[in-house]
Amino acid sequence: MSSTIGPTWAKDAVKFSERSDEELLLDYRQHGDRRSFEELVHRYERELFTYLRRYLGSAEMAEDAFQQTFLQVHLKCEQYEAGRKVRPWLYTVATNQAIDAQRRNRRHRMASLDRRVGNEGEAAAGALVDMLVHEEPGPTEVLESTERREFVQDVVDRLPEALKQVVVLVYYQGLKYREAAEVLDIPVGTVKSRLHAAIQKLYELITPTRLPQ
Amino acid sequence: MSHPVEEQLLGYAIGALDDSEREQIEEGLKNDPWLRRELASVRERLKPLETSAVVFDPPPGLAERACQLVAMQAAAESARRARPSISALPAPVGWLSQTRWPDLVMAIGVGLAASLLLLPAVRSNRFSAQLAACQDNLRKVGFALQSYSQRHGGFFPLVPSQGRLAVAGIYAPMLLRGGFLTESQTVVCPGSGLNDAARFRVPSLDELEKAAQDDLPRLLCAMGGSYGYCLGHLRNGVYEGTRNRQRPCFALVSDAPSPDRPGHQSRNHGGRGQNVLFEDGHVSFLTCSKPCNLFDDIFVNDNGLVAAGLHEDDAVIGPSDASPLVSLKVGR
Repeated sequence: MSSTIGPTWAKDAVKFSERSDEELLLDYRQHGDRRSFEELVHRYERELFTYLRRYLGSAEMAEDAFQQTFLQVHLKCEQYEAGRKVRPWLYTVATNQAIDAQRRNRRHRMASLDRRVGNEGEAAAGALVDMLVHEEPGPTEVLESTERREFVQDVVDRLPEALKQVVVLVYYQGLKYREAAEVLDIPVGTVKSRLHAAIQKLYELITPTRLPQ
Repeated sequence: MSHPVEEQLLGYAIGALDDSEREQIEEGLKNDPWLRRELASVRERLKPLETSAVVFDPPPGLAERACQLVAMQAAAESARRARPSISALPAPVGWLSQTRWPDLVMAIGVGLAASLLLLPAVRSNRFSAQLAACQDNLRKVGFALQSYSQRHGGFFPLVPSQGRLAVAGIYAPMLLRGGFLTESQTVVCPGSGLNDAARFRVPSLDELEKAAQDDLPRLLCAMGGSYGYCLGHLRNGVYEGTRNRQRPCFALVSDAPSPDRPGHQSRNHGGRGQNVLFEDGHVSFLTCSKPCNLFDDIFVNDNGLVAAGLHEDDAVIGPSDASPLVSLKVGR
């Protein structure tokens, strides 16, 4: 008996790992196949956790948002439109969970009181100017790569939300312009201009005074 | 200010372009020295970010915990659908008769210990699942309200200022009658006591109009489901409905407030807070009744009363049977 079960399971495992994201999600939606769902969760574990961790700046909040993301995938899988890519859809769900998590976090709310609300992308320049007067460690203290990484991450974190979103999605997570536009529900041109503005500002803020040439 | 060439080169440098756009840039780079210099400049600007492009290791077992949470949610859903009666379950007579008492005591002890260890985690996961399902409901209500406002000159359902049906809960029968909501269960929070009433149904407007005077208070309390709704506001002494202005801090619907509790905190999620649907469509779980600043309380107006707001931005969510002030002129 066991000799027949073993190869079947192994075959199944290969079968699931070879399936596309879209096939897995549709299979779960139509047949409720738990293994399809689990394959999808494992497939995106590292990628989405990294995204949420970077977005929220906290491993604990990211862990919670990750679980809530897949709970929402379960609850809303009927809303997924067959024929579209799953990856941007997952990022949309994860982004919504991250936004909700931020709103739940009182500390974040208090810290955000002086940020621009509404169309933040267009208001970015003014908010970024404020960052120039923020006191940061001097150049000698950021020579260590870890410190340098944390410094850059800190500067990215303090970008206005609209700019930070595109930097995280496109630069760090490697989404195409088109996919990021789909995730954020904004025009592709807006993604391009926000990323361009964000990279320019980050370069100006990080390079001249902070890092040795 | 638009920088189309730089934006495309930036996308090329980090792999954000579609295939056709990428090929176009590559073609240009072959023949255009200026474009190559620009690309080098773009890459230079990206260098400071390179050190921060790291992958974070997820905590051990994260995927398993997420799967477990979803499995529990799915099990709760199917149990809710099935609801078998206890008497239908087979009695474990044979098993019990063959078990020795010491084994039984040991098994009970192990079971109790396991329960004590697992109960907090199970409760926490159950709380999270109910919270998420409630937020899902509120998003559906939000979508229905947005559709309603589009068809009614930008206004959300108006709570009448006087008459038999002048209560906050009127929003639910109005949305159902217009087909903006399709089922009563959408206005039932899974974390509320009402969730146990599997047969809960929002009464229709006809039923409410024809209800006997004795039945009416009960119907008014129940018709909003387990959610409260925005009571409208005063403008120059005239009562008005709420106009849809997509405000991110204006609360429209929430877990029903409990006026007898401190801060009117809702009972729906064990008294730990309430999910709130805002006018721009987002839903948040709030542990207090002041979402955006320390002055605007969503459960009372600026005078501290559960009644119509005192101005256009004074959001007040009342429980199903709460009325805006009576004897007011009604505007729209």
